[in-house]
Amino acid sequence: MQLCDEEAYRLCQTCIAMSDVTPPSSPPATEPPEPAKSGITRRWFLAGSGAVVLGGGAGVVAGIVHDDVAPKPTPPPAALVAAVEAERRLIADLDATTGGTPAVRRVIVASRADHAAHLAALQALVAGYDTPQPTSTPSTPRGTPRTASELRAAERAASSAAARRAAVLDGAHAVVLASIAACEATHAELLQ
Amino acid sequence: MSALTAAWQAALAAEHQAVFGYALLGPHLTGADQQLAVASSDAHESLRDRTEASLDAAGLTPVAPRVDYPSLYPVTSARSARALALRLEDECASAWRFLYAQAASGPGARAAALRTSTQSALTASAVRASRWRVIVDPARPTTPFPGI
Repeated sequence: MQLCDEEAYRLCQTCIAMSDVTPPSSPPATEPPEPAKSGITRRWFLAGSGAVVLGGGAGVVAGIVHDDVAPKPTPPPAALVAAVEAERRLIADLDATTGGTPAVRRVIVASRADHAAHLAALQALVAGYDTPQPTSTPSTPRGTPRTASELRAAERAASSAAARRAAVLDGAHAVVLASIAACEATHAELLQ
Repeated sequence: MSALTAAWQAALAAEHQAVFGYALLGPHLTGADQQLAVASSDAHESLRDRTEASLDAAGLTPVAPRVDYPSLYPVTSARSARALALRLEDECASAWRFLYAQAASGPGARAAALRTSTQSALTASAVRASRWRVIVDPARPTTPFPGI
């Protein structure tokens, strides 16, 4: 956006400069004489035409920039933001859980990778909205070590929540969350 | 036929294929694998029947099963039977996910109502797929985006 503003500014400055052009002095002797009746030299005519073209272009660019800037920033849907936070909390809990049988550890590792993929996908969707730049990087939530049954309950709850969030969203957002809900149900299943 | 209806019929077609496929692969399995196949087959038969009833209630003619599904052959061993079971579940998940996408993209009460049952079907297929995936590929028991 800033780049567009700068480009528009430069273009406008060019237009201003062109509109300020004073009629060139009488043409050098090497050039053919201009028609006496019009009183406008070829150089002046070309300069004026250039100003009109550039001025029109600036108007178009300014219009585009204006149209781009004018609408209020659209925040991401609350359900999408909540889904991001839910994934971050699940990842933190999985990272904090260091125990478990080898079979449970395998599920934890696989689940951790899936949640990281979910988080990346959801963050990419959120990035498609005009959001205020955060003043600082969001802090990683503090995870809590969980037992296998607690993780199973958390995954089951996360699946239900993702399905509810999918139901209030539309299009690609809804589909991604529906698929995430299905994935989290598989984690709960494997932690049985 | 609307995109929503086409996706709905495609989901039913996937369920028809799953029912056929489990009948094809079941005899090659024993023990716990066979029990899983029987439970999965029962679930698909139930879902097929419910989907047909829903289409019928919506005034639509449910798509009929095919006489045969050549792409499912050959199944010659327990190993190929388990691989086919996983494939059937993944294909059902894809079909239900596609229906969910259509329902989530279109207006109307039917589309909104379909989303709940479609989410259940997608999740159920993903869970069954994960049960098979643990057996077929224990190193990769899950997939982050079932149906996608």
